[in-house]
Amino acid sequence: MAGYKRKVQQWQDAGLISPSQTDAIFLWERDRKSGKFGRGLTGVGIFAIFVGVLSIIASNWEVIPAAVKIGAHFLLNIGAAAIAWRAADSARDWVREGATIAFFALTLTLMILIGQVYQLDGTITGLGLAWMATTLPFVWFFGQQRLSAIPWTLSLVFVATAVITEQTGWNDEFWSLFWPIVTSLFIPLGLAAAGATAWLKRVKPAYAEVFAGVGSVLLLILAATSTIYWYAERTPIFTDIAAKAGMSYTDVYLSYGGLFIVALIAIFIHAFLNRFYTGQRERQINAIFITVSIAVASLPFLIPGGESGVISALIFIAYWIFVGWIGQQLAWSKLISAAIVMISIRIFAIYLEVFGTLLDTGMALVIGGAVLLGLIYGARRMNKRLTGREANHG
Amino acid sequence: MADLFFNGWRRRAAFLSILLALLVPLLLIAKAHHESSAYPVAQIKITGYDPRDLLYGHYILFQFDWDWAEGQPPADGSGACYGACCLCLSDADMDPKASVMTCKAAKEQKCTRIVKGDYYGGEAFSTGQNRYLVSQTRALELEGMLRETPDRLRMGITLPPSGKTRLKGLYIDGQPAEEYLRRHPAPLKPDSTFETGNGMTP
Repeated sequence: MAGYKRKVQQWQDAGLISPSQTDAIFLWERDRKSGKFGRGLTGVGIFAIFVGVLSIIASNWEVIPAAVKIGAHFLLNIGAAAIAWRAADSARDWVREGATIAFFALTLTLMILIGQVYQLDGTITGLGLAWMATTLPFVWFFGQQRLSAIPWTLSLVFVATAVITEQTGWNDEFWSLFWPIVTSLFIPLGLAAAGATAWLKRVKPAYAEVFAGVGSVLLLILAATSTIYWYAERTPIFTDIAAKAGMSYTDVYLSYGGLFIVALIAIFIHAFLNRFYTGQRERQINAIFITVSIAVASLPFLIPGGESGVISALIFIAYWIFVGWIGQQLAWSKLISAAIVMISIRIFAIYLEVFGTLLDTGMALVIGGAVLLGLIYGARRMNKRLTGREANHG
Repeated sequence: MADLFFNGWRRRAAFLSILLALLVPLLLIAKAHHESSAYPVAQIKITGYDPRDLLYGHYILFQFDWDWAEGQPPADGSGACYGACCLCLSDADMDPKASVMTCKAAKEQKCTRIVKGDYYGGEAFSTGQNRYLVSQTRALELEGMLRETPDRLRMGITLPPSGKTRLKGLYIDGQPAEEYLRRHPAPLKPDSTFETGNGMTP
């Protein structure tokens, strides 16, 4: 029995809902999910065509004359645009969505083909910006749902990262850490902020939702992966970077740490301007998630002590307990499951990391398990206290 | 979603958005075509090669092997320039003689075949163009050819008055490479390239 069916059946058995309500819920869910398989396959099919066209172009098959290659590709683009147009007219939503993203992707491959045929020595920045700018009005009009919103948003992230990479040059050691921090902090923040705007939510709800989702996922990845930095000896690394860049240690420390502080200040200003999201519980939870994620990511940079695998593991587990708590607050069971899996994996990693004597391993696991239980106990107490305070205020 | 486009201005704007996304590539084609066909072309000898790049297909990585005019490039650097410079090419379509000088000097000398680039002494004058995409199926042959008989290969460059050259195409024995490759089909067995002893290892 699927997850929601079991849940609904449990509610019916507990007398919370009637059998007719159960049937109505099952019917509604079945209708809602009926197109999911088709949409998924459409997405996979379009992705396969995109990669296929890209590979054919990359092979630069000499048997096909250049004009034929460009002409055939151009016809493909016209075909995709025509399908999008007709599907929009006949209200076939996911055909339109599929054709929209196909046209979007084919415009990129056409530009690459032109560059290849005429041996243009352009930059990724030029190509990426020309592609996004040229197709933006089209995607704006024809892309309405997640099927087009997800690949478009991921393309936006990729192009923005590529532009920053190419324009800033990461060959210098100082900048080779500075710009990745900027990119990994401010692109997700920008997406989260854009996804939260009332205007975007009104005119492009699916895109707003995907922006917010992709921003959150990127911040989640940032916070979780930043715990790896606890293994690195940051003080000597910063000292080395400072020496090579002709800067003082303090300047390097403030430059990197300052980026996180700026991000946290930006979040505070956003919250302040929005009256701390009073009466919008989901936005409040989201703001807490973003703030804590950035704070966790900032710790190895703000506290550049010696390496510590123990601190890394503790922060990682604490962060995922926090993520699980967020899942609980948002009643998002998949997030809670993901948090449990990540914590389990990290505890298993302790077993591998301390793979010395059985005594070492045993001690590490006992301590790891005890810390986990302690953290859960603390989190539950905090949760109860917060809930109690909310009830008192309410 | 049926009401997406059915009011007047949205429908027209949506149609224009399709036109824009089709017209921009067309304009790119027109511009690139004009720049590669409106100006004289000189064939310059090339050297060097490269490994394959899985993401972008197969590039030949090369550098121009300029045929320097007598007394060029100046051994002591006198009269030449450093950094952003120009080459003044003679009128020959194949292996024109090259003289390095400041771009201002090239204009003063009324040089009609200018190549803008960077010069930092020696014989290496770089236009920044150093890679040429070739067919995946023929890359190994071309690699072997460039290494073993480099005199057969030349790179055509267009020579606009601005000096900003564009790659016109690869030439083999004076013929455009595409034409040459069509006339000389690939060996039936893909591995035969290795067996011909061109020194490649898979």
